[in-house]
Amino acid sequence: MRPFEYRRAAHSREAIALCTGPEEEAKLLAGGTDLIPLMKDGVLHPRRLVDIKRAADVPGDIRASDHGITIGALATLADVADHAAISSHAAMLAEAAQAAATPQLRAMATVGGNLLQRPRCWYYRNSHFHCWLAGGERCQAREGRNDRHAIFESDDENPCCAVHPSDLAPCLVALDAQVLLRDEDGAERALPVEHLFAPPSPERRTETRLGREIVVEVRLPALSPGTRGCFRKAMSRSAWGFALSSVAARVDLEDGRIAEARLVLGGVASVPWRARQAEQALRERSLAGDVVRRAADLAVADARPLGHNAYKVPLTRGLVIEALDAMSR
Amino acid sequence: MPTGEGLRGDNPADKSVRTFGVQIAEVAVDPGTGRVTVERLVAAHDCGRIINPRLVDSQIAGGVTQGLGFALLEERLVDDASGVPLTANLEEYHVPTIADVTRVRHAVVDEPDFAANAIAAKGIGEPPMIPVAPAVANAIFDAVGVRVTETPITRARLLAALARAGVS
Repeated sequence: MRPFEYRRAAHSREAIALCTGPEEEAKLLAGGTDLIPLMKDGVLHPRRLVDIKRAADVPGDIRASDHGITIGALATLADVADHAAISSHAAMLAEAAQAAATPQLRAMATVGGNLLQRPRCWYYRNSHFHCWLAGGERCQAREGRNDRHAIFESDDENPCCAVHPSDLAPCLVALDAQVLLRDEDGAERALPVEHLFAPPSPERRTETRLGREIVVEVRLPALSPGTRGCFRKAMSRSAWGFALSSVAARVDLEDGRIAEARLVLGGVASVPWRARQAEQALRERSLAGDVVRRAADLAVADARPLGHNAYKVPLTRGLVIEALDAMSR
Repeated sequence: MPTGEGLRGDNPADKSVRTFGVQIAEVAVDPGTGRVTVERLVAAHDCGRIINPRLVDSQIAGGVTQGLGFALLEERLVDDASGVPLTANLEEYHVPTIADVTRVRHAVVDEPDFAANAIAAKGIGEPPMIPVAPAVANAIFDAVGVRVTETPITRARLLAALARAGVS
């Protein structure tokens, strides 16, 4: 690990102002559960860390009202997992937070950081390879061990086949959540969490499209009384693992009919992956067995697995069935 | 106070001293997602005379835990092109967590083996690790009718075997 300067920002404007120079030179530090290991592994070497944990205008609390639930960017995963309003109104998000990492990590890791965390690709995280995502020439995973990599948009038209690791992100997309961003002039903009993410491109080798902005909070809209949600995650073991595949499913039921549906997959693409065809197949239907199976088939219809991850296709299909079946009961 | 000296003595020249054992695993398999849950595991090992019961129980619990790792989780993956190990840390090389370990029942044998040595006891360090993977693999076969012949029996291997067999 190379030497770096540590600065503590009093507010978000100071934090952004302290992030001078090229993008890799200075990094915002919150929970640090992803940033510090990336530095230890020699993937990132910022010269300055700007600690925002005590920035007065970056909230860490969770507030519930009639209009929905607002989660401060500095709220921890443990806060999300334990919050009564989230457990009752957006249970899938609490379940996803509970399914992430370990109690120790959940006590440190923040919601903002969870959305901005980098992929777990073992080529990206091993400085030996200096892969495309880390600034190098090519993706070694596509021809190498891609057991835990993408099955959507994974072919060689895409420069990277790593997956977004967040468990929260698919749920937030499924819940139509918005993320509030603030720039160094204090100007704020809200955008759907879904639009925070974009596959990395040669111009922007990250999975999120932020300018010189800071994540302030995440806003969950109030949901209709007929809304049901479910999160399912497959790990290689029972706990402490990133998703091999995950499913965040939501249906808004009106008299047993699905008025609106969201089916968002995690661990299978560089961004939370909306299975739009499957969503469409659910609308105006019920959660009957044949509807569920058809939606599950459609959810993976566009999958193009790589050499070592074909298992993710039946796995994801199985998780979709599990999630939809759970909501029908 | 009486004092004395004990000696385990040499192994017999005309016999091969072995710790025999049997393990029985009960698993739940979800063919839709390839998830394997080991529900119960019983281990009976003939380690001769049991001198310290707590120590033997604990060797068995520990050995079975390691065996569950070999059976279902632990895998050293290497990048073929470069030879660089990819699972070189405990984040990628998955050992069992407490949530992966079933209740291990030690079916105590405790038969002194007078032919083995002077104290009639035999080793119990490694033996409990050995039958776990085959017992789990046999239980998976019993549950869903497919043989996975490579360990660890990951979701990837099991789902591939189920697909080959047309089970899903």
